[in-house]
Amino acid sequence: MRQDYKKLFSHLKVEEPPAHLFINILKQVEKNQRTYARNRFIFNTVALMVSVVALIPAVYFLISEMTQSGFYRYLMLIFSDSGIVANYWQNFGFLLLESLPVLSLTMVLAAFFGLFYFFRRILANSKFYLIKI
Amino acid sequence: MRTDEELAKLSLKDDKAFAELVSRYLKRIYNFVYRYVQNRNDAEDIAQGVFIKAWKNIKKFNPDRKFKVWLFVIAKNTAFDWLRKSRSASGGKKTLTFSQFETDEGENPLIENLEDTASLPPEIFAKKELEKELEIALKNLNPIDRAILTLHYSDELTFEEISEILGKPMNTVKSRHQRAILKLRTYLMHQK
Repeated sequence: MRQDYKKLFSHLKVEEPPAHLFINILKQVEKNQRTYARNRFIFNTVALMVSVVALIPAVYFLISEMTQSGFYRYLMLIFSDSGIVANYWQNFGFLLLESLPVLSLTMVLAAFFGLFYFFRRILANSKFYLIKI
Repeated sequence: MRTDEELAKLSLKDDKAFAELVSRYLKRIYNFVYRYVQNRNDAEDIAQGVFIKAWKNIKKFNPDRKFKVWLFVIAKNTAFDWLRKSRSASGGKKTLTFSQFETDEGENPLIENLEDTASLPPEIFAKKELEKELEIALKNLNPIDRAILTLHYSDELTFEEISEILGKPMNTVKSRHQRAILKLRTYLMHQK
C-alpha cells in the first residue's frame, strides 16, 4: 500500500519557494543578530558602569565600617603585638570575625565581581559586537 | 557531510551552519506550510517566520532529538496559529471538511461501502489530471489529515515522527491516516 500512495504523492505538485525567500530569511536573521548584539552591548556596558559607580561608595562604606567596628585596629595588632596575638589566637580570631564588616565587604565584592564579569563579557564579545553592530 | 543536528549545534556560533540548514529545509517547510494555508504569499511569510523562530530557539534544541522533527513542530505550530487567526478573522465560517461526500453528521456512505483499501486501482494513475485532482482532494481534507498524508508520503516521515510533530498519540495518527487515505481514495475514484 505504501508504495502505491508514495507513487500517488509523487504526482503532487511541489511548489518552489520564491527565490528571494532564502535571502530574506538570512537577512532577517542578520537583523535579529544585530539587534541582539546591540542590546547585549548596551546591557553589558550599563551593567559595567553601574558596577563602577557602585564600587566607589561601597569602598568608602567598607573603610568607614572597618574603622567603626574596630576591625582595622584589631588587624593592626598582628603587626604591633604579634606575641599577644599568637598567645590568644583563638580569641583574637573570634574578635576579628565579630568585627568584620560583612555587609560592606559583601557590597564591595559584589560590585567588584560585577565589574570584572561584565568587563570580561564585553571583551569576549567585542569581536562579535564590532562585526554585527 | 555534517548532520542536521551537528549543524544546529554549530549554528550558535556559525551563521553559515544555519544558512545550510535553511537551504536544506526551505523547500520542504515551504511546501508543508503551503499545504496548510493554500496561499503562496502567506506560505512565504509563515516559512520565514518558522526559520526565524528556529534561529531564536536553536539554543533550546536538544541534539539528541531529530532536527527535522523539531523544525516541523515549529512549522506546524506556526501554520496552526495562522489558521486559527485567519479563521477567527473570517468569523469562523471557513470549514475544511470533505464536504462533497460527507453528511452533516460527518459520516461518509461511500467510505463505509469500500471494502478494499489496500491498494489503489490502476485507473487512478491513468487519469490525465491526476496532479490537479490530488491537489483538490487534499484541499478537501482537514489540515491535520492533510499534514499526516503529506508528511508521510511526500516528506517520508514515520508515524512516530508525525505523532511527535502533531502532538498526538501514534495510534490516533495511524487511524487518522487510514481515514484520510479512504477519503482521498474515494474522492479520486469518483472524480471523473
